[in-house]
Amino acid sequence: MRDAWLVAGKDLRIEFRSRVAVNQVIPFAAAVILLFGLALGPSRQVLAPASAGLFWVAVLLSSVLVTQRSFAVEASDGARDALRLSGLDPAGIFLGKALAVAVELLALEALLTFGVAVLYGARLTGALVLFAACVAATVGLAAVGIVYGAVASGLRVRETLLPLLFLPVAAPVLLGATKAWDEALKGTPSGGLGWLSLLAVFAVLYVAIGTVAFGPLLEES
Amino acid sequence: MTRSRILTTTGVLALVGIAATVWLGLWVTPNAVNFGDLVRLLYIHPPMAWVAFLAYGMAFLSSLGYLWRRTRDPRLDRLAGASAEVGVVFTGLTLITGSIWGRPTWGVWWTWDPLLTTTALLFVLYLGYLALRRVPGDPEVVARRSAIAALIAFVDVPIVYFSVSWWRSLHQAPTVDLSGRHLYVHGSMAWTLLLGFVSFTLAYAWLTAHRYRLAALADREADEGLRQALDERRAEGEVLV
Amino acid sequence: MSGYVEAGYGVVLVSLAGYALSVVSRERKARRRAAGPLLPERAPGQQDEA
Repeated sequence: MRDAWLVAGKDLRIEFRSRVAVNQVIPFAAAVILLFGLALGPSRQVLAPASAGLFWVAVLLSSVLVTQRSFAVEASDGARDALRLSGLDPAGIFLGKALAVAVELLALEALLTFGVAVLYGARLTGALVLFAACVAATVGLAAVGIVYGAVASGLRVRETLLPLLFLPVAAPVLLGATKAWDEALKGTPSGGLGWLSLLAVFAVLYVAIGTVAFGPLLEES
Repeated sequence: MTRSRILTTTGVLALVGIAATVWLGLWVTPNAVNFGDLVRLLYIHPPMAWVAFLAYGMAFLSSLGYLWRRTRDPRLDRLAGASAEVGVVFTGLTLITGSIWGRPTWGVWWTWDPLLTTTALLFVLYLGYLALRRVPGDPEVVARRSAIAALIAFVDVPIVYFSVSWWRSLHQAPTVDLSGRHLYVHGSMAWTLLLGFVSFTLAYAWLTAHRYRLAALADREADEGLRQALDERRAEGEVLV
Repeated sequence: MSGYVEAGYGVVLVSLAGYALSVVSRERKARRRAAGPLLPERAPGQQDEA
């Protein structure tokens, strides 16, 4: 567990200093929600009800970028080998990287929430459910993303392969998080509780798989 | 020798079985009361879906076996790859035949039914898996990587199914009965359906076995090529000495 | 018959046959390559003598 904190701290420090997340991922997410606005027209009657779904699609697309970034950091200067030889527990490395990605995504979601409220005119009600859905969905996304990121890392085709592997698996997260947000935004947050448990199951399952599977993934190449 | 004779026999049986299914399905069996002659699609669509799930189950089990250290064996990896590829072919056919059934029955080519949606996602998931397998690399690394991807994909299937069916039930959409569960299957229809299941399963076995052999040949060829290259480099070094 | 049924059977049979043929022909090709002279002619044990 200490290893996880170390790795997460390292990744977050790199992000904080390099500002790639700030300079590229956040503007990307902003561009996505702007484009959705253009695609669906200026009418708030259309945009406001769809805002939950659009928000989560934007998050999903951005999480691909964040995951790729998380492994691009390891690719240069043989950092990957150094990480492997560092004697850190593979499960710890997995948890640490997933934690760092989750923290970055949560920060992004906070900003996007603001953007959705302003641009689409979504009224933010049921804040507790909104927040819980964010946390559960983000942990699940980060876990799947890191496992697949490790699967695809080091391959020449990783930029195209990762989205193809990652997005279909993340479909239940999109569904669950969107419905939970829908219920919350409609002012009936209790309707989202079932979806929250679905998100939680997904998160727990994939964190468990990642913890077990990361060892064999790291020893390769 | 006996092994390839068994394989040939399987192939012939599958061929005869499929031919008989087509003959019985198109010409011998009667039209059903509520479905008209569309009921004939029933003899091929459910067997397609069954074979697809069988193939993915097989790929999952062999991937699991590969990941477990004690049973780690390149043959299991090849089996997983072969089975998944055949599974993708049958999933595609499941989607197409389902769509062809849906159009005249409900007037749409597609409906967001849990089964349909899950199958479509499954199709995309395993296309990704096959794409990952095709990326060249050290065979053992490729195998381990693919096994983990297969594991993740398979675990996702029940979650997807559950979430989509829940999503649909909340939407209060007009429910459609996909597989004709209310259909009373009897007599020659039941036998034809059974024959369809058996012969397409045999076809799955035959296809997977041949795909497996192809993979084994390709692996051996890669090994030979590597050995040859190594020998040449070694010979060069010895000339210099 | 409505045409849908024939289309369904046709798609299934044609694609399965096509897939089977492609697998078998690729296997045959691979087998021929494996049986043929993949390595250049070289006396056995030659690299040991050098």
